[in-house]
Amino acid sequence: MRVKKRMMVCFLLPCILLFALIYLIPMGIVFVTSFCEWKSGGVFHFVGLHNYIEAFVNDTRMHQALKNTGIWALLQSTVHVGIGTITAFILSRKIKGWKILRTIFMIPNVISAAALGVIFLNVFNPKYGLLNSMISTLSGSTFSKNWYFDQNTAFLTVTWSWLLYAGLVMILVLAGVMSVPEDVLEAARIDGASGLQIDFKIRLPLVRTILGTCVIISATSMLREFELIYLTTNGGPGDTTLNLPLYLYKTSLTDNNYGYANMMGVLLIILGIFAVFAINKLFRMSESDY
Amino acid sequence: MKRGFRKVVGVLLIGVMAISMLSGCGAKNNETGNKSNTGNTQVSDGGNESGKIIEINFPTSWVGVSSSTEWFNDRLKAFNEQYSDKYKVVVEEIAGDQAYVDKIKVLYSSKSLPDVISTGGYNLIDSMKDQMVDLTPYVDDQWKKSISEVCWDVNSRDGSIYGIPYSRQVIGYFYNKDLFEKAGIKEPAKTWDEFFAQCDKLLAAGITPVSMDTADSGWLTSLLLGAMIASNDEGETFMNTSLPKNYNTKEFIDAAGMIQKLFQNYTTQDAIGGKYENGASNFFMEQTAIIANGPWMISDFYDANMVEEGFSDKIKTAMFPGDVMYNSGKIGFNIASKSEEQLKASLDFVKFMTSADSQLKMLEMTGEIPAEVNVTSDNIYPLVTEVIENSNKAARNINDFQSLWYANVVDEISIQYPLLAQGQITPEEFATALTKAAEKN
Repeated sequence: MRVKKRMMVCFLLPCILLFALIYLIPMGIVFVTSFCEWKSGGVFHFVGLHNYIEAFVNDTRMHQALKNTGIWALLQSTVHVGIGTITAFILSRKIKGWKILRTIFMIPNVISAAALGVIFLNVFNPKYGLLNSMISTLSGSTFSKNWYFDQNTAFLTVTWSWLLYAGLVMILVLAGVMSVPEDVLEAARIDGASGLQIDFKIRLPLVRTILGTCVIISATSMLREFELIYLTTNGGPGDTTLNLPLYLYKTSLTDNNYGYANMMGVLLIILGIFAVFAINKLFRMSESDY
Repeated sequence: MKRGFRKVVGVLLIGVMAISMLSGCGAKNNETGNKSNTGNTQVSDGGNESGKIIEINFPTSWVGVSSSTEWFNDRLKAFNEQYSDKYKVVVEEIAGDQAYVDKIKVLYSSKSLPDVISTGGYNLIDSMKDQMVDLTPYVDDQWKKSISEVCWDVNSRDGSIYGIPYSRQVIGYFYNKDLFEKAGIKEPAKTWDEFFAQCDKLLAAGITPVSMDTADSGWLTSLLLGAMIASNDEGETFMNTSLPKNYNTKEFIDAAGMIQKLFQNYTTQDAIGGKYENGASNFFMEQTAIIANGPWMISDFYDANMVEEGFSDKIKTAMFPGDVMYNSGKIGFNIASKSEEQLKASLDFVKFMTSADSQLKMLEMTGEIPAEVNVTSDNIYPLVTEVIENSNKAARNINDFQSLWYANVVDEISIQYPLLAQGQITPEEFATALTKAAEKN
């Protein structure tokens, strides 16, 4: 049956229109207004690259936000993906109770960020928090540390809120590992490969594209991370845990500086596109192994 | 025939897809009927559908555990009964003052402010007055005279009225007299040196002196900070100055130093990073002896769900050392209606909510001090009377930081407090950080 081009276009048109209305046009507005001084009270005029220059030269808070965002993206795409991958490989051996373990490992990923924020605030509470109570019990003396609001521990504590909980990565890699053809593994076993050798030299390379996808998802999730930081430290103490999305939010809604906030939005888009392209290249995502 | 039929089906499918996508974008809340809770939107409908019923959009944070919930629900019911044939108030419930302010800011940025706004004291007038209605033509002389001048001042900018006041901000601090007696303290401190000496006595008696917080706007802590700043004439002037840009003053830095000392020695472990609720809870559980807050807290002292029986008998109120009291107008109801019809409806609603009757109810139910000078009652908590008496005796009267300072300074203060508290910045650096934030405006 020949598919008529006209019908194709008609069916795609509503979707394309909606995409243009909701994404393309607003993105265009964000891009254009990033070159403007646009504040509340009707202030709006073109300033060229002033916002960008201000961000990279004078704004120390921006430097801190970019640095934090970069570190978190790096940690998430290495440590977080690494933990999920190792867990997936362990579960792929179908040890006793592996299905229950798989479900338990997923739990933090299905809880909302708001609930997680409240849970962690209580776990790390300096007065009655679970962590301080455990340390006090084990050490035999009262231990109190303000994990979220001590400048020395705040960054690590916030990182802890998401770094270890690699349920999504685990599920994706596990699916990939389990779909490796059995005859390939059989051939490896016949050749005398051990379990670890099969994992590192056969399965891991074959799940390359899935790993690349997980790295993209993890890295770009840090370009969107907002709720957990807002609900726990709000970027503090000072700007120790400030990241770009939270800084964008504060700039637009607290400082009422929309032009500057849109500049940050453009930076986030550029960083996201760069991350996707770079990771695609690194993992050779367009190449197939079969 | 078959081909023609397929074409018709194809066109119909395209049409259905387009309509469903576009209607999803343009959905409006058109609920009618009796008062009901649909998610977090409450639609109160008078019931009689004769004639055109005008909807008044009013988001509010007077829900859940807010001390004003009971009062608001009472007033809303009374308004519905009186205006059942004319108006329908569409209430959107937003729990928490900060969440409410954030929502209004989002609505402002998309030019879709609701008809009526009430922030509970947060100053949004300076940043949003370009979308608010200038209410000056609608406030006649009689109305103006009935409410104290300080209340109109805080709701006005450049001679134009942007808010209709309904309450006065009268704030001192509450203390637990039983805990004071246990520490050998007979009466509240007259100077800040005496205050710190009393804190030492409380500590020696095994009692944590003060409830403090840093999260959100660090309300409890900032009330103490403001009272410390106002210890002299210059400080009092500063705490009555709208939108200050320079915090590098001697009074501010000295006060920040005292706050640092309080954080480091005289408050609970969960104060740093803690919210108002943590501080209030510590006071209710008698883990702290002192809390700075306004008379709206008094109803909680009698609430069996929050405190033990007899708690209210242990509580007294005091002026801050130096006879300083927060004693000012409070930001009231703002209107942002876009049509004449909506404006009239909103005005009627606001007039009702700020009427003498409503203010009397508010005084009796919540303890909040009315803006109208002639509204008094014998049916109020004794502590409220004490607070009012203190406000009349105060030597220095100041306004609170949420009403005076830039919004980004209020946000900045809550992320700088933990650094100040833990000695990671000096009081001078604290002042500089706030100055930098203010200069962005």
